[in-house]
Amino acid sequence: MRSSGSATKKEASARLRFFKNPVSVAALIVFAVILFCCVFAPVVSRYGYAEMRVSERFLKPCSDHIFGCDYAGRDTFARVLYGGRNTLKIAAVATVLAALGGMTLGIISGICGGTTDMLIMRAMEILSAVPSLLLVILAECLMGWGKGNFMYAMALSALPSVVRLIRASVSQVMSKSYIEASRALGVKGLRLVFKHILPNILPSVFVHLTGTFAEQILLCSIMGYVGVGINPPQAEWGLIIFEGYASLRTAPHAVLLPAAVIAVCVLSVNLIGNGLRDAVDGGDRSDG
Amino acid sequence: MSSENTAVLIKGENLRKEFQSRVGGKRQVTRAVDGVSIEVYRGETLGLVGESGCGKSTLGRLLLRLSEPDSGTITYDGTDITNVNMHDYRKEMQIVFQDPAGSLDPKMKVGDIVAEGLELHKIGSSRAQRRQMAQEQLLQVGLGPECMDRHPGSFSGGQQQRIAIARALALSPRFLVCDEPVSSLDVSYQAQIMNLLSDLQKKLGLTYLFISHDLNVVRRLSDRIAVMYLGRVVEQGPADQVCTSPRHPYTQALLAAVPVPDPDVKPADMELADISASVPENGCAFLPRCPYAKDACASVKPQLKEVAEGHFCACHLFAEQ
Amino acid sequence: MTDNILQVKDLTVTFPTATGELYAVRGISYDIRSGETLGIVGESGSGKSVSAFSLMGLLKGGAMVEGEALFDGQNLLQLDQSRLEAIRGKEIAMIFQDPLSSLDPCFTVGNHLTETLLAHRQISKAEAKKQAEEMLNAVGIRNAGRVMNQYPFELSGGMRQRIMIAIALLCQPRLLLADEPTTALDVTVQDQILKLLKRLKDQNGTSMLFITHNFGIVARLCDRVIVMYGGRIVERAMVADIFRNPVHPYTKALLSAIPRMDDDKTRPLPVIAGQPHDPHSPFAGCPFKERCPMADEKCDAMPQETCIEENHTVACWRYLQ
Repeated sequence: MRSSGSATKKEASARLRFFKNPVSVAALIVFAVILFCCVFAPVVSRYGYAEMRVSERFLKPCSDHIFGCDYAGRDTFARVLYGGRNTLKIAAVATVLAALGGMTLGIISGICGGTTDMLIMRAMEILSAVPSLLLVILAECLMGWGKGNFMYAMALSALPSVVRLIRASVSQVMSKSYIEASRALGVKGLRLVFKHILPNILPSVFVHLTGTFAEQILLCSIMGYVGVGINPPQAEWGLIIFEGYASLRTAPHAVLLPAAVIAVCVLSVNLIGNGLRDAVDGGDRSDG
Repeated sequence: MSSENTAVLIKGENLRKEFQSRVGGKRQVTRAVDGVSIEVYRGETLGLVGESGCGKSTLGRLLLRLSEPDSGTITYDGTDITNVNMHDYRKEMQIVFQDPAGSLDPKMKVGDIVAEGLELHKIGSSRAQRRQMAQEQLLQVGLGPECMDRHPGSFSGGQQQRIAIARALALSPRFLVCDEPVSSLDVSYQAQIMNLLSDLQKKLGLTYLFISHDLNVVRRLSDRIAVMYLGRVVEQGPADQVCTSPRHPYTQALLAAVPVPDPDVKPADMELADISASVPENGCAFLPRCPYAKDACASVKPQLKEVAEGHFCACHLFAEQ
Repeated sequence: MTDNILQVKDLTVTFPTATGELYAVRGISYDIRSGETLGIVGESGSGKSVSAFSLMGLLKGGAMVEGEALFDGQNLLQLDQSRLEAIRGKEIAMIFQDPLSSLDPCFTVGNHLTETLLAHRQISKAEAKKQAEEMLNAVGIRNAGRVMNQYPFELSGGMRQRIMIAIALLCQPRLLLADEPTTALDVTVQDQILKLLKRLKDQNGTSMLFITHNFGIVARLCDRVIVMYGGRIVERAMVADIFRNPVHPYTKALLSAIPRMDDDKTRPLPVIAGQPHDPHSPFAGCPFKERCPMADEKCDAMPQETCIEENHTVACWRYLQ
């Protein structure tokens, strides 16, 4: 009586489980709103991120400037939106780069094993022993300052955890007998990777990458706060906090409101990740 | 036995395979297969029996070269295949695994799973034709065309094992290694799959190496039986002879240990000692558990000797004969 | 009445799942008489394990348990967690299929045994250690002193199961629930464990609920047996009667599908056609209807259990007057 196509139903039900979870859906909506506002910042905000009005320095939030203005009389809301563009873009690109690099290295490591695996894993251990901040500063010193290099450095700092996860998933899949069965049919090389290994590790990798993305948003903001990465007058979430920090006592809104946006954004990404994990795991559980 | 050589389909000679592992920081070498020579005749089923860790599955994988032997040679149909590129031989020999759910890629559709080998070996001219062939294979194992586009996770264990058999047979192999194909199945499926395997053998003239720990299952399907203990074949002979008059003490213990579904049958008294770690380097591996051990067992490794026609046993109890 | 150690009445276990309710156990009643070994036989999905786990409050996944399980006049299903924990291990002990997962890898065998003793008894550590060693000897472990200091992963599967049995028997429980304790073991080791359980039962008079899919083990160990299918009890009888005179079509089919040493190899094994009962189906009739050769429209309702001879009941319309 098992209905046909209940496996496709299982995948569909993973999606269903995600959308049935009110927390995940709320998080997704919140993040979508933040993302939308940032991407369409020029439309959403009436002000530019560098437009200064001396008369409106430290203006409290009002109907014209819902987040108020900063020390230079710039609209904080506009700066948060434009800053989000930078932060989210950097975090996303860094995550994608880390994912691509991590997939390549992790799959090579997991499949080849032996010396190759040992070398890659030791390299990752060395990399993860360097603090992210130091890594970014080092990378920028060596390769020169710039947004591109900054993103590469960020990706590099996220690389070890992604490689480790993918290696673990790959070796788990490699021990399954369907891999041996396809080897018995004569499957090898890239076909094995793309047809049998990747489809089976992608769900868990995707869940992990959501977490990486959240970490990258925070890391990027920390970098901005300590003055690495994006330079003024451009906006960046960490940079906005840094600029407002000097006047925290007199104009707390210039720090607290942007900080709240960062927190809500990171939280929503993490909750989306949790929801995805529950949905994916739940599928395995009901599968027996 | 040279007169029978043409009848041999696949032969392993002096096969050895060691695995290294670390237990509590100590490096341990396990001799999974320790100098085994084995011949499988065309059209027969050779049953390979033994307990976990005796190397029976490793031996099956060595013959298919899914695992490379440390030493020894493998001959298939008169050709030495120990060092050749296996790709062309893959369609000659296939394997069915113990765990049907784990042996089917959960992300692939059943039709694609069965057709994968056809695609790899460029059998069939188009995708449509390969799908047609896959469908025929599924029909042969008793599954209808509606299965083609479903994922393996939605099938029961017995059906999954049918799919795995269809995949293995899609390439029209001549030799099939069945690695405990019914062990993880419920009794009602066990019987179905055993009947299917013997029907297919009759219909397609297949040669089986049937690996199992269950003597009842092996006896039913096999023409000959080889019993392995710690990497070596200790007894080998016609199935009924091995089961009714086992010679090696280990085979005897194995047979005595199987619980019989009949309350009037009292369990045999023969009880083996516990598996102890100290297996003699130069003696019989079964010595620590053997109730009949004598002096020679500790110093000389017993070799297979013919104790009756076609019935071999590696035990010093038969050395004088 | 008084000689029943456990009385289960109308036990129903339902799991909520993403694809609807899963009816694992659909209203079963049974007693365990003191000193007897009751076997529950069934295939996977028959509800045999769930029916025992539910008694001990060990089910996960939001299981809904209804019914009554009287042990010493208390309903186990209504007890709070702390009362249940006090009974668990002391009065009722369990052994499982996979001993490694029930043993904590961070603790030595000695730790496990003494902790169990100290948790339930007011004795000194030295006394606990002494009793633990004695128990290890009783389950057939020589050099108990050395084993006490070993970790579970250093031991073989058979040894671990012996340890589990030792832990289970430490507090001299009155009831032992055994869930396929030998399924993961080799036959020769299984043989040893079965002999051990039989000896302990004869010595201590412990009552036992033995869950298995293997009729051979039932014949060896049990006094009475319950056959389950699709979450229901289809037949119950004394062990000798179930083999001599199986009545329910499912029991009959199951018994004939087992390969035996004295089978005629040329005849195919009788099989049970079709698929097992879907546990998600709300169908309230006989779960075997879909596969039963004798089913008719009456089977859309679940038949009452009928007594056909002393201690032998069957739930089938064909035997209901």
